Amino acid sequence: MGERIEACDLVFSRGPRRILDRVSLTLKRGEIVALLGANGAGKSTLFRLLLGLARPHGGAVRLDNAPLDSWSRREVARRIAYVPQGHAPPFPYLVEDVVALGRIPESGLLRAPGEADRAAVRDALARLDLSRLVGRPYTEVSGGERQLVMIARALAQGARLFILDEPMTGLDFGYQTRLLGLLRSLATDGHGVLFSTHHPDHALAIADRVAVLHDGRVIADSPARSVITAPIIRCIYGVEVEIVEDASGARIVSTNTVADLQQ
Amino acid sequence: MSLLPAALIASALLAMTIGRYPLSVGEILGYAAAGLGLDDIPADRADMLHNVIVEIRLPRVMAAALVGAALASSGAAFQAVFRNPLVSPGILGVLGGASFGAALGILLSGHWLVIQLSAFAMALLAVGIGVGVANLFGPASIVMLVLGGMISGALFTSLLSIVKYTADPNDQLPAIVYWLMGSLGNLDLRQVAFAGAPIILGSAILAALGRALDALSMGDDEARSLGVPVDLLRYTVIALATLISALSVSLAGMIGWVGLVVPHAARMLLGPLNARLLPASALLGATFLILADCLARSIARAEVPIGVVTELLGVPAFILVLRHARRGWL
Repeated sequence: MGERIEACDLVFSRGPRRILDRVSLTLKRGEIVALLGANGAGKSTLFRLLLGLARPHGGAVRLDNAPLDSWSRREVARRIAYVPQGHAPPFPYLVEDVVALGRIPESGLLRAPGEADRAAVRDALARLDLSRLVGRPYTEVSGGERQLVMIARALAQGARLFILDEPMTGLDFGYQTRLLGLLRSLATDGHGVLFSTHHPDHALAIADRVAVLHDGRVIADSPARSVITAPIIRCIYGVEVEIVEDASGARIVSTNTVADLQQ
Repeated sequence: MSLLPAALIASALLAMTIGRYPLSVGEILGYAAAGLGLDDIPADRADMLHNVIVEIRLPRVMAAALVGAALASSGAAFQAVFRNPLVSPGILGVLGGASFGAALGILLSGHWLVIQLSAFAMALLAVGIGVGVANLFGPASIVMLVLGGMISGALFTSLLSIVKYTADPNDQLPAIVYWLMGSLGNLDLRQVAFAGAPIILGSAILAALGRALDALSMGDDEARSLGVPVDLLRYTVIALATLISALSVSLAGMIGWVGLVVPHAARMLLGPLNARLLPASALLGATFLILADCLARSIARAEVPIGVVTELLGVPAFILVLRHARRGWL
């Protein structure tokens, strides 16, 4: 479930500091939206507002054309899955048990997982090629595997809208590449995917749209190729780049040399 | 898991045999069978057995089982809520409050009912203060709750010192000191039955919340994104765990280490899933405390305070736990 989530003119402040200033963003099923922004630009805050984990001080979030507040937490969880950065919990839950937590919105808090839940867990693990991890403590698998387990949990949850908080962070090149392919395939079979990233390359590679948060405002929200340009990268990160086209698509090449940056 | 109830029953039977008048398991089972009308034993012998088994040993064994179960399952629940396997039931000040309450009861009246009620009330008050302090400056984070519990614990520890200082050193002060060492000796069946129902019910509700606690232990935001009402769940569990640990402390005084070590052992045996861990901790805690009480009654000519025994057993047990501890914490 879950067709569309919209943020309209969100305002969020922490003390005197305005973290988000009239931010609007939409995610629909079947599309991939990448969120770019420097550290501290407000990406995580925006995600928390979209998930209903914090309330905006202005503006509104709408889920499937109704205010987010009007949905119960469980109904939200059946529509939006949150994929946090894979972290180690204090207790060594097995991988399949962590994925089974994704079934809570379906089965309810007080029911033990049933056969349908176990089947959903098996399917999610199989889809991400993680079946070999069954029986292993989640705390003892690698960081990349942990991130994939979080995505498997989101799949088991059955929600159609995915929000991923910097899913590539800490992953090696192989996992990053596989994860990009996976996000693309999720969108192809009808999921809406919103992810934040520090790598404009990742946005270029898979995103249908790229939104850029800068100083608490959305300064761009358009198809990837029109957003990821040398001036915008300079504005976000303060470095000079060139966008190069080749047979495999567009890539970003830094034109600064290390010597330039040292001056 | 299926072995735990068997271990509990076996340890309870063993505990019934130990004492100044040794009984065999056969005699106990014979008495039970006679009670059910399946067997016949002479009247004077039946009276004697009734006295030893029902009046003296049964309340004690049941109290040990209940207190052990309450401490271990509240410890396991607190560990999940605080996302920390090093947490024990005293984290929010329940033990400090109960100690002060019991000492105050000894100072004011000395009647067991006053002492127990005062210990129970002050234990709840201490947790209330701890949680209240944590929420003074907006909804409490885990760290704020820990700090609130420390503050409340410190407050009641100093109040306890005042009571100790004013207590009569000839009879009241020793009574306070003995209470603080823990004892299962002075309980009758009525008291045990009165505390037993809420302890069993509370532990059962905690176990039913096990899956929600798994989600909660992954972090607040994650749990909310899975549809868990985090604040409601957290304070429900804190209230239940406080209630049953306060009941156990007011029955038996300070019995340390059970609430910390037993959940660890249960986690090593059965894994960390709370729906299994909580009932397993309760059963294992009950078994552990029954056996610890057997030791307390039999290692020396005079009875050793049970709190001293659990502390002495707790140290090597905790070292073993550290050895087998999984990575991911510490």
